[in-house]
This record gives sequence, C-alpha cells and structure tokens, in this order.
Amino acid sequence: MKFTHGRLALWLAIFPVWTSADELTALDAVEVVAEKIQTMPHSSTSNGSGLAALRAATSDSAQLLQDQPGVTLYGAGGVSSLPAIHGLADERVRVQVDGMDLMAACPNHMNSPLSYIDPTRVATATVFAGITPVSVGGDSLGGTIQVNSAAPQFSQQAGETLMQGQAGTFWRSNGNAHGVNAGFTLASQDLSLSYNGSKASAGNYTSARAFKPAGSGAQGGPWLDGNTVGSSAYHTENHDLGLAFRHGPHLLQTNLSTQRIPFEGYPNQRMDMTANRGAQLNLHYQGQYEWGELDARLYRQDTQHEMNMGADRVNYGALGMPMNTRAQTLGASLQATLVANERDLIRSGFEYQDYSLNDWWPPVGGSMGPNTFWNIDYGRRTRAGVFSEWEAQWDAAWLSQFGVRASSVRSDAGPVQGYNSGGLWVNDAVAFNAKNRQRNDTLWDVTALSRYRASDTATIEGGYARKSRAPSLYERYPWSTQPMATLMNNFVGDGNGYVGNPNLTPEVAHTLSLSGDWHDAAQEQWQIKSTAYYTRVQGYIDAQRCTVGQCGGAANAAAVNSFVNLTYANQSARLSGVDLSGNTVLFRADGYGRFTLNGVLGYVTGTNLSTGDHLYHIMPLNLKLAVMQQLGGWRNTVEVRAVSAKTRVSQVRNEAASAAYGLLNLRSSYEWQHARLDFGLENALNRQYEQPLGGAYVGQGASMGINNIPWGVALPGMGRSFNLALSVNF
Amino acid sequence: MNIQKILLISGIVASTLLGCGGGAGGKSPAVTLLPQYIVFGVAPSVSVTAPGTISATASSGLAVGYSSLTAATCSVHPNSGLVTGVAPGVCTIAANQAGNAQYQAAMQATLNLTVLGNPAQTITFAAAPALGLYGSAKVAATASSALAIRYGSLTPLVCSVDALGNVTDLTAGTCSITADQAGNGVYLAAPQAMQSLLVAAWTGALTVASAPALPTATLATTASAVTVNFTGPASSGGSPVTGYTVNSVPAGLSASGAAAPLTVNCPVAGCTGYAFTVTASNAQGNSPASLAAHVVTQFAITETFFEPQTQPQNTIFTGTFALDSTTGTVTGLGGTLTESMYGPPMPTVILSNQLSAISDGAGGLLVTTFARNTTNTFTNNPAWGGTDGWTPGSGQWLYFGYPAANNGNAYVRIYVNPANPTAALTQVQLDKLAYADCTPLGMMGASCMTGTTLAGYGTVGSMSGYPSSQVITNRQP
Repeated sequence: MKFTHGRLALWLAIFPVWTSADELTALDAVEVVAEKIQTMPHSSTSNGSGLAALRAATSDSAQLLQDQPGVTLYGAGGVSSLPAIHGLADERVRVQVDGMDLMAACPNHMNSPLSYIDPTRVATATVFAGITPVSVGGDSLGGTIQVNSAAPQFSQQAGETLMQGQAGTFWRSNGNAHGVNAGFTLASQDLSLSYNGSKASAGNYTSARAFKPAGSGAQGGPWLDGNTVGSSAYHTENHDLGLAFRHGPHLLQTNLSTQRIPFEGYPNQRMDMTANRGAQLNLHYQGQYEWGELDARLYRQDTQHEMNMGADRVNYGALGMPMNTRAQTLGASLQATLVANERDLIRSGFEYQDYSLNDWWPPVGGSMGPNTFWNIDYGRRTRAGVFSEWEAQWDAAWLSQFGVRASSVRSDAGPVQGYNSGGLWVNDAVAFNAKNRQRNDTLWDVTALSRYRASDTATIEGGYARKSRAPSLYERYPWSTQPMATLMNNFVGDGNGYVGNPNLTPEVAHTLSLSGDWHDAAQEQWQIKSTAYYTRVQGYIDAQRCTVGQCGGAANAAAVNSFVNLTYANQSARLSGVDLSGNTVLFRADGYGRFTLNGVLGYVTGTNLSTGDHLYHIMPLNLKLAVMQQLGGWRNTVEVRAVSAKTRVSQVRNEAASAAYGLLNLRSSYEWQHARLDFGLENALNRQYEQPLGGAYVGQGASMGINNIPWGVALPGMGRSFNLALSVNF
Repeated sequence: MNIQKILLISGIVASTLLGCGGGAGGKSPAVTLLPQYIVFGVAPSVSVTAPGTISATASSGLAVGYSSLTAATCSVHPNSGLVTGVAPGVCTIAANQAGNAQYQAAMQATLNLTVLGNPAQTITFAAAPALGLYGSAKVAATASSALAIRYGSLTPLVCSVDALGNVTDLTAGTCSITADQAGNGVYLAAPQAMQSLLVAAWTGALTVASAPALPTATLATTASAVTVNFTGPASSGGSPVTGYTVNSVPAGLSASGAAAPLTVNCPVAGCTGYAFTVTASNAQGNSPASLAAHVVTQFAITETFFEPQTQPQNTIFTGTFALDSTTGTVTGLGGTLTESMYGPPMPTVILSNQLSAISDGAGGLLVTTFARNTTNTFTNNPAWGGTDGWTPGSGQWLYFGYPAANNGNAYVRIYVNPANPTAALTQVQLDKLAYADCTPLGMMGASCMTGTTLAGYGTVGSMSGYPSSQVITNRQP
C-alpha cells in the first residue's frame, strides 16, 4: 500500500495504537514530513493544558467545552450543565462519554451524560458542530460531543512494570468548593490496570450582588443572603476502574464506573437531586487489520435517581415530594474503517441502544396518595441504526465525504396511574391509558461535504446535512395536566410545567454549512476559523401553551408574566449563525516569553417559523478574548468575556430577558516536571450578571405552586471566585 | 496473551453486560396488571319512600359491586345498585372492582347522596297570641318540611295578615288566619292549617296605645337606609293607631308612616352605631317607645379563590353571617368550602365555628370561621416557621400538630365593611381574604391547601391559589 504524506499522517491519526512505544522501538527512525492533520470534517478538540486551566474553575465537565466555537451551555446543577451546539441543545446533541451514549434518567435531565465524568478525568473533548459525519452522529440534530478519558498506559518494555499515579486537589472561594482526585496505573506491556476517583463538594454559590430579598427559602430553613443562589450546592463522587489488554494491534478495554451524588441542587428546577447512583460498564475493542480498523463497543448504564426538596425549599412535610427513577441503557456499536485505496476511506457500522425507564412518585398523603404516581412506567426507547460513509481524497486540494445513516426508533410506555382516583388525576390517566402509546420512527441522515485546500494557508469546507431525531420518552409520555406534575417534567430550566405529547413525530434538520480556515503556512503564528450555518428544522419540537385538562385554560394561554403550563408540538424552526475563532502570536521576547491572543465569537439566531416566536435559550452575541503569556513553566492568561443583551426571548415560555455583561478572568499556572499549580480569579471585577442560558431562578420557596415563586428572576452568574488547584503526578 | 484470550475475556465481560437483559424491570413498581378506575354516574334521587338506582362503571369494563357505608341512612343492592333510603341524611355508597387476571383491583370509589324524608308535610301553628281591638299580634306557623309558610286571612273584615304573620285587627270579632305550604319538587302540598283569634269589643276608657312589639332593623340593599319592622302594639288603647314613628338611638335619624315597615335614610357615613325605637300614635297620643332594635342584617357571602392548579375548579366559600351594624359585630359566620383538589363534583367542608373577628385597622372586620371549634390549623412549631397555629401563610402550611396526627381543621377568612357590607372590595381588602383546608382531601403531603396573596400574607396559597372575589348580598326578604 502506498501513501502520500498526508494520507500517512491521517492513517497515523486514525490508528494511534500503532504509535505505541514498543512498535516504534522495533523500527528504524523514520522522519515523516507532512501537513498538520485536519481530520474530516471540521471538528474542534480541547486537550492538554487548555483543559487543565479550565479544570481549576469547575467541577462540571460540560464547562470544559466553553471555549469551543459554536458551543453554549444551558445552566443546570453544579456539575450538570447541558451543552448546546448552534442553538440546538440537550438531546438534540449526541453526547458520548468514552464512546458511550449515556442517557439522562430524570424528568429534569439532572443526571446529564457529562455529569458522569469528573473534569479531572477528561483527557480530550471533541466537538463536531455543523456537518457531523454520520459515523459520529445519529438521532441528533446539532452535532456530536465526544468526551474521553485518557487512553490506557502500558509499559515500554517487556518485563517492565509501569507504576504511575496522579493526585490533585482544588479549592474555590465562591461556594467554598473543594475536592480531591487521585488515580494510578499499574501496567505491564500488555496489561493495564487503572483506577481514578474524585470527590467534589460546594455550598451555594453567590452572585456579585443581591438579586432577590434576603431570607430563608422556606420558613424555618437556612438563611439565604440576597446574593446567595439557593439550591446550588452539590456533592459528587466518581470512581472508575479500568482494565486494558493489548496484543499487537489489538486493544481491549473494560471500565467500570460508578457515581454517587448524595445531593445536587438545581436553582432553575423546582426540585433537587437528592440521590443519584450510577454505574456504567464499558467494553471496548479496537483492532487494526490489513484492511483497516475495527472498533466494537458494548456498554451498560444503570441509574437510580431520586428527586426531592432540598433545604432551601418548602418540603411539604418530612417525606417531601419524592420522585424516583430507575433506568437502564444497554448499547452496542460496531464500526469498521476500511482504507480501500490511497483515495478512498469507507466507514460502516451498526449501533444499537435500548433504554428503559421507570419514573414513579411515592405517595405522601392527602391528595397525593394513597397510590404511587406513575409518571412514566415501563418507558422504553430502542434504537438501531446502520451507516456507511465514503471519504475520498481526490487530490492534494479536494476531499469529499458522503454518508448515509438509517435508524429505527421504537418508543413505548406502559399504562399509568395517579395518586388516587380523584378527578385531579384519574381523567388524564384514563385518557392516556386508552391511547396506543407505541411509536415507531424511521430516521434518515445524509451528509455530503467537501473540503478544498486552496493553498497552504487557506482551506474551505462546505456541505449539507440531513439530520433527524426521534422524540424522547420525556417529550412523549408525561401525561398529567395537573400542574403539580407538569412542573416536575421540565428539562429546560424555565420554571414552567410540561405535558408530553405521544403524537410527536421526529425532527428533521436540513443544514447548510460553510467553513473557512486561514492560517500561516506553518500553522504556528496565526489562525482564523469561521463557520457560517443555516439550519431549517421540520417538525421542530417546541412548546405551546397547554389549554386542556387542568393546565389553566384561557388564563394559562394568555399569561405573559408568570410561569405557565406547556405541551410539546411539532412545528418548524430556523437557526442560523456564525462561529469565528482565531489566535495569533502577539510577540515573543527573551525574558518575557511568548504572548498569544485567542478569540472566539459566537452568533446564532433561532426562529419558530410556525409561530414567529423566538426559540428558547438562544445565546446572544458573545465574544471571548484572551491574552496568554508563556514563560518557562508559567502560563498567565487575561481573559475577557463579553455577552450582549438577550432580548430575543421565547414568548410562549415567558422566557426572561437578560442584560449585557462583560467579565474579566485572570488565570495563572506553573508547571513543574511532576506538579502543576493553577490559581486564578474568575469574574475578577465581581460583576453582577444574569446567565443568558441559565433559566429561571426557582431555587427557593414553594416549588409545588406554579406561581408561588416569583417569575422573571433570571439565574445569576457566579460572583468573584479565587480558584486554586494543585496536581501532582508520580 | 493473544487474541484468543482477548476474545475470551471479551465474551465474559459481554455476558456480564447482557446478563440482566434490557429493561429496568424489577427495580421499580412492577406493572404486571393493568390499573383500572371506577367512575360513578349521576346520583339518583332517593327518599325514605322512593328508592333509586346508582350506576358505576369500571374503566376495565368489569362488573362493579356496591355496598353502603352508612347503614343508618341507606342500603344498596350489591349488584344492581338499587339504593333504599332508611332515614333522611347523607348516604355513602362504595363501589369496588376486585380485578382479574388482567386488571388489578380498582381503588374504591364512593358517592354521597342525600336521602330525603317523607314527602308529605304538615303545618302547625304556635300558640295563639292575644289580639286586642285595633291591635296587632304575630302568628307563627311552621311546616314539617321547613318550607316557607304563606299566611292569609279568612276574615278580612275583622283582620289582615302580612307575609310575616303580623296580624292587624280591624274590628271586634273572630279573626281566622290560614297557613299554606304549596310544596316543591320534594314535598307535596301541605293541608291548610288555621288559627282563630278572638277579638273582644273595647270596654274601658280610651288610652294611648301600648308600645309596638318585636321591632327589628335591617340594612336595606344598598346600606344607605335601614328598614325597621315591628308588630303593632298588642293593645291600641281602644283608639285606632294612626301612625308610627321610628327614632334612632342616638338621636338624629327618624322616619314615620302608617304601617310597618318604615325606612330610615342613613347619613353618608352609614347607619353604623345606631339603634332604632318605634312609637305608635293614636288619637289619645303617642305610645311609649319600643325597645331599641339593633340593626341586624343577614347576609349571604360567596368568596372565590382562583386556583391556577386545579382549573377549571376553584375554591369557593358560600355562607351566611349576621352583621349587627349597631355594635359593628359579625356573628354566625358559617358555610361550606369546596375542595378543588377533588371532583367534579367537588366535596365540601362545613365551616361553622366563628372564632375570630378582628379589625383590619381601617374600619373593616376580618372574620374567620373554622371547621373545628379551635383555631389550631397550621403547625405552631417555630422550627417550621409556625406562629400561633393559624395565621395565614405561616408554618409552611404544615398541619397543626405535625408530624403527629392531623386534627383536620379548615377555615375561611372574610372581609366585612360594616358601613357598607355589599360594596365591592378594594384590592387591599381583597388581599386580606384567606382560606386553609387541612382536611384529608385538602392535603398535599403534610401541607394544607391554602389561598392567600403575596401582598396580604407574604405568599400566595400553597397551590398558588389567591382570592379573586368576594360577593356579599343582603338576605333580607
């Protein structure tokens, strides 16, 4: 097989296992001269020191994506933000953690996929925004996020034992967040055993200034200052045990991960997560053959989840309002990458996922008893898909990719019951049970894109994607119109109540995207990347006012300054925008080091074409500029974030607007051979601001009453925080 | 290590992954049987002499069985649903469905209906009052059905009678008064009853009349006037009464006329604080003044709390009370409170213990009536934010005694403007209305259902309910 330099570089990038040390020692040194690898299509990866600097400021792995062009984050709990790509969020984005499609098992999506991996374990975070290849997409519209822990380590020589470890700790002044993490690896040349564990805790965080009256969130409850964000504390604990076998070009990995979250507050939800116990078992095989690569994965996720009222909320008695969920996800994937010839690369594969869910609310007395309320019983969503992707390097300038994915999604849920046979519950339950609830959806994804390398300094990439997504169980099956129930079925953090709609059909997105990448020939001095995109979504699942049952009738339909009850409906939507990112070396000087300027600008608009309303949670124009100095072991960063006012808000959700703001962040780190110290000031000027995607502040008070909590208070951002993190490796 | 070993280990791990198979079965409330519910049809009319048939259906389509939970008032056939009235009162019928191999047992459903008494009714007169020449007296007849009586005079040349039973003598002779009750949808017409009053001729000297009797004073519909009613003096002194005069106590207001009732116009500030006496006049002079009558008016009240979370059902209090405008006091506030968390039809809680009436500091009265003869409603434990056990909005709405047993109290607070009770409330006054329902059907967990406003009590009700209207109407005939 004969390769060009570029193809060889691509080959090496795809098959990193072949670059392992023992293989290299058997070969003579070979100098490879090639262009920097640009995988197809445009993706963006964070790793190394870029992630390390962010880790010091967060225990939320999703926050590690904040510098990725096109990515924004829905606010949620302290370790559970929900990423959005180009305005499409949550389940419209495929999120993989170590290759597993982890599933949230909660009517509020509290246990989001990225909450299952601690930031200290994240080695790479890759974002496919825009034209996502079918090989990494599927059942999603916005793109794909792949977060991976570090690859297993092996000893370099036969008979040698590798022992290495790392430990770290952090403290952040705001909320007194603190935690520890540790890991070790014991490995031979073909066997690797590893353990990683982490714990993190934080109290309620504070904003720069008061945004509400001071007082207890519930009579007799803890005092909350006017700038204290109630229900934002958390405690989390993650453990991972990994075992890997390597034999030549074959690698078999299995990881058992567990999570225990005894409490995670949700200031934009009406309940808190009072327990989450998760376990994931991940079996992964990767092997290289003469014809290409084979990648197979089998995984299982078990989740036991509980919601109830935290200390900052009225708890309605000792039992509170318990809401429990059990879920299990079984997934499998098989992907073969065939290097057909020097020009053509074929990726084909199969994926399967079976997600089952029981969501029930134990009785607590009065009108909420004596029976157990079944929110979703025997919910099940089974997805199977096949895909094939052809990538061709026509010449040194032109590269193309074409892919097709077909998926079948079967959704169903069992009959339900309310707390009792009173009119409050029984009418909705009887109506729901009388329906045929099984739905079979067929999804077709198509991508076609091309890259043209105009010169050593310019590359243009453009394409079209048809992406589709089947409705989730929580979009289809929550059945009660009683607001006490609707308010608990909300995964967007707007404080409203939601009723499912079994008749939803899949969303189909048509995206046109054009990207440009300009840089110096060596790609060392400067770079500018820009992506413009236009997406039209048929059957976009948006909210509409609920007027049936106990939703509130005409008053609910007309309300403009209160929380409301909503249901889901297929409509159509348009999203468009621009991502712009770049970096340049400002200057180098002996004794002063190297100064670089990095910037990311994001702009997106979203319109519901059926109603003319703005789409919910669309990030306003935002800009990040950072100047970084590198001098020896020092890395010092001055970062400015500027966000314009959010005035385009979703009227159907009575979404609150937010004001423009700017933040100054200062970060420094010093790295020794076996240690790294990070310290910094986030929001150094202690500016008060509202998180544009933070949702409604409902973190204190009486959650069960739809309007017991003041409407129109946007979730504030964190005030100034001094952050300190230390990590050592040995 | 070789590829075979890897595959072997892969197989073992894969078996572990797949071991429990798909689904989350066994970890949650397993659903092996379908749920079912029982819904009652419209309640029939049942009396002690006329049975009726109830009908309940199970969502499964399976047959429903019936039983009476109130054997003292009714019985029911277990299969046909034929309800037989035993005694007047509330009859509660239970419906059950035990389930089968496909359906789980249904939760018991109950239906309340009222067993009516015997439709026949009789009229009985109280003892005949004394009636003097040209004098007045009041007769009193009652129907066994408690329906209103219609009076008539069989001797119109001797006496007349008004709708209230006030008899006025016109000459000496026998005055015969009849009492009728025409019946309604429940009761048959009663046989006519009659009472005769013998009026003797005057034999002594003519004197001034005696004082009018039984004076009553009530506010007129608009509260801009007071209607004074009375019975003419039992003795006219032998000289026909020529007129009556009403005077206020304290003095300042008066009215006169030939017969009851008389209307006294109130000053702009209203008639609060005034009582009224009546004096009769004849050719010999004026009678002594009657006892001073307080202005006591019966009102009906409907208070509505909008419940955003139980639409279209709201919490509604319907009741009555008496306002003594002379003393500015409210008594006898009672009525029923609907429970919007259930139904339709919504169950009701009876509130009949007026235990509080306090000033709002601006001339109004906040009057509260309870289900129990105690104000203990919410927890008074400070750890839960409790205060006095019933202040609206206190104690996280947890019931009194929490976490021990719940006494199941409930209350409603109304606003009364003594100067003008039927006037529309201002928003400030509306904000002072409140209710609490800590009976079993009004509970969410350990918290009671309530209705308040943020302005009035620092919070809206536990289910976001708040007072939306209060309508008071004068019940005087």
